[in-house]
Amino acid sequence: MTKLHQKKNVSPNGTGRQLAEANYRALFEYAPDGILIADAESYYLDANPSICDMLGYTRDELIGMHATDIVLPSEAQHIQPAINTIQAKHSYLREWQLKRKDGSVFTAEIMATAMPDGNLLALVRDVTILKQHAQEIAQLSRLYAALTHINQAIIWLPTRDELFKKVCQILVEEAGFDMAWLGWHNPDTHQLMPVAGWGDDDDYLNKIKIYSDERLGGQGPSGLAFRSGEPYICNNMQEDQVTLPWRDEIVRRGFHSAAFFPIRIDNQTVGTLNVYSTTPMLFEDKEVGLLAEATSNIAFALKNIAREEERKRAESLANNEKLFSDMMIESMPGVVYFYDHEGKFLRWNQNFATVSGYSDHEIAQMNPLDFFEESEKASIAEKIAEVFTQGQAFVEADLFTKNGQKIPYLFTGRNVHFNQQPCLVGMGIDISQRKQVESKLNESELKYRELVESANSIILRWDAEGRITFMNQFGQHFFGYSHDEIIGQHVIGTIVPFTDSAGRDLQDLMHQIRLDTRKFEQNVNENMRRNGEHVWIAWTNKVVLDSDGQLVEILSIGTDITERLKAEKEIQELNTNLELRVAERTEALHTAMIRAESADKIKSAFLATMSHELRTPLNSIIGFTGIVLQGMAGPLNAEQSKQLGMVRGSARHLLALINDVLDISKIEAGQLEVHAEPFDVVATIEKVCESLKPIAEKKGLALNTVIDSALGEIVSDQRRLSQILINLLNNAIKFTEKGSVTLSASLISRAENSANHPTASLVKISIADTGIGIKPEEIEGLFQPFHQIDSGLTRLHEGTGLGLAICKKLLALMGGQISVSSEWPKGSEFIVTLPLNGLPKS
Amino acid sequence: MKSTILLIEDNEQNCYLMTFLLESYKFSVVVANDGLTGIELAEQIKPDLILLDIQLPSMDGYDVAKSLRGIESLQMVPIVAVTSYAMVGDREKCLAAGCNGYIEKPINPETFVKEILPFLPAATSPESAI
Repeated sequence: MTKLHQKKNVSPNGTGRQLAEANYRALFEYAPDGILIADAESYYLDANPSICDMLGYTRDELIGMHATDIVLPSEAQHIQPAINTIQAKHSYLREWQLKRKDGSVFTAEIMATAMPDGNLLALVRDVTILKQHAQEIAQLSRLYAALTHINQAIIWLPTRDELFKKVCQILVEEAGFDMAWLGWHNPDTHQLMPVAGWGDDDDYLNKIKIYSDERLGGQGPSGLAFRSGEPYICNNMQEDQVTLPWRDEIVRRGFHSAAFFPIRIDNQTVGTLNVYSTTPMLFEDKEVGLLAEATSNIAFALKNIAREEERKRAESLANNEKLFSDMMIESMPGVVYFYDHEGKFLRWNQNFATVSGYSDHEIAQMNPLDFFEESEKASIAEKIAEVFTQGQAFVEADLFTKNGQKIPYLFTGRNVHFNQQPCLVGMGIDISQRKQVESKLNESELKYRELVESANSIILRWDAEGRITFMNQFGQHFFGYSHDEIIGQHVIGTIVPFTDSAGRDLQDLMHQIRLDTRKFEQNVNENMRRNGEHVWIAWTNKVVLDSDGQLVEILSIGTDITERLKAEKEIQELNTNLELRVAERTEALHTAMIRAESADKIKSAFLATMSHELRTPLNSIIGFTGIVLQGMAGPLNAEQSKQLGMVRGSARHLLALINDVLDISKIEAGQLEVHAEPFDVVATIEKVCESLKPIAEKKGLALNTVIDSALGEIVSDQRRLSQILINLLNNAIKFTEKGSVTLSASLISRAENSANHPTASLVKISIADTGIGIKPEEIEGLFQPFHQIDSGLTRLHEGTGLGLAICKKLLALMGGQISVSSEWPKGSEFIVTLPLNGLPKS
Repeated sequence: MKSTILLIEDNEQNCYLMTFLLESYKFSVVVANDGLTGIELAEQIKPDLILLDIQLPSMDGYDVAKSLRGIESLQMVPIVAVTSYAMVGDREKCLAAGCNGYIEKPINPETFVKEILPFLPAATSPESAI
């Protein structure tokens, strides 16, 4: 701009009008501001060189262009209202964003007026630089304000994290940066941890990893600032090589400038303060200086905070220490006490009050000796004195409580100096339990001692040398030594003779026992009493070894078996005698048995002989009488016949008697066997009846038979059945004087059968007579041997008295039964039943 | 023709009794008083029936029966034991020794002959005697 110092009268060349014209022209051509002349519709009519320079168009290019061609399209809407204002003669001044030919934009201040011809005149001034300066000033003032606020925050905010957060907030919200964060160095991971941030709208800080060392993540501006200790300034961030790894993110966020300041405390970098802006070329020296100052203020604050924290930590540590020691004292299992040399309690734990029963207030007034019984006070006082003279002492004593209880305690005391005063600190442990265990142990020990001492066994301990280290009272008494006489003595020569009664050297045996005790766990030894008497003792030896397996001593328990051995010997002798006697008796028994067996044989032989020898003469008697009676040897007169008949009767009776006696004997000797063979029972019955018919007829009796047609073959003993039937029929005939004898035979089918033989049918044979019958009282003995009813009848009715007994016994052998029913004097009925199919198999 | 019966019996009275009875019934009776004699006689006379006592001197009836059965010419001659052995098994022992029948002593003179008749061959039965 040209500054006019004074008004100068210049005479223009040419006419005045021409001159004015020329001057205006020059003004137009050389004016530093751009001048545009447009018509009423804003089409440009003329443009001076300044505006051409500004917009980058030539004059010719601009003429004919419209205002819309040079303003940003976003501002085109304001053109018509502006024209309207200008034409309304209003003064007009406004900033426009103009677009150069090359497309770049700049801010211009446009002043416009309407000329008399209706055209529009616009003066255009490029205000970009002006604007920039204004911005810079505003920025700086914001920075100052921010610094002030940061300093306030430093004063008011007590913790690092709060401060950091506030600093970032101030830098973004007040200083106008787009993002700020604080990286704190972690020495372990070498990472700059984002501990606070502001303006980080999409969590960018949590995604990046920045390192303090030289790895890739540490090659960025923060890392460089951290390592160098100097700020790192990026005024063209999108082009800076060091930001390359983060380029995409930077472009996306639109950052252009950034600055990174190391936070240094005592010459050591502890972190970085990082600020970002979308404004390019933001950080001039002033900005950097202010931010560096803020950073150093923060560092100072951090130092203070750290110091404060250290102080607090120390304080809390001290508090903790006190709590800790208090707790330790209070929770001690025993009682804890601390008193000065005059016996004044300075400190004690709660347990002391609890156990003693005294309150804290009382204890404070008491003397240590007050906690003991009168009788113990002197010895306790001595012990306390010992602590002060010797440094420490302990004593077992009863704590005498307020309520008179005595609790066994172990008290300890140690001399300490407190406030230049000798004091006693100590504690007491309740040992009642230990005392109880001790007393139990003593009892137990006593019990075992008694057991050992009064055991009825010798209990002995002897060492590897063979010397006796212990012998119980029983042992002492047994061997005849007193305790003092035997302890320490060698076993050989005291309780062990040099040689046994067999002449064996026992010294060697002792040696062997010591060498191989396992072999001698149980042994019987010849020992010796003090009076020289030899005794036999059964020993159980248990060896005690040391940790090297060396023999330490032997525990031996011995029982005197001298008497037992003697008794055993006697028993052995007795046994030998007994064996001999048993052998003798066995021999005798054997002989007796042989004798008995032969007696049995003799009996059998006797029976056989009886049978034979008695029958042989009877053969003659009966035979010849029969022949004579038949008249085969010549005629007989009536008297002769009668008498011979009597002989024959007697002979037959004798034969029957012999047969019956033989039968009974055989049955009773178990020699009679019955057979089970099939035979026709009807034929057998008929044959028997046939043979007896003559006798019946001779007495004028009818012998009837009623036989069931269902009967046929049965399995039994035919001879014996015949014998039984003959016997019964003979009896019936014998005891019947008139009337009849009836034999009925029938089959008892299964349906009628008793439960006794459920699978076998029975043959029932009944022999009924019309004789004198049997009196009820006589029925009972009817089947006994040698029984005949009413002995008075004997002569009248000859019989052996064995018949019914034989019948009953035979039937029992054959599996049958016999029974009788009788009505005296009207007759009797004997009923025989036999199994149809022999003896039921058992 | 008379049937010949060989009676081997040591007891004199019994010999007499049975001989009397048999001869009364027209049998021809030859008597041997011991077993060996009995066997010799049997071989000589070839009897129609042999009545054999069991209790005999030196050689008992069982052995005699066995010997007789060992002689071929006598194998078909019936032997009936007449014995006073009446113990269990006596009958069975006799039959096992080769006897065809067994009659217990004492004999019944009224039925004795009737008892031996079944053992005689039909042609030799002295029917007139019955």
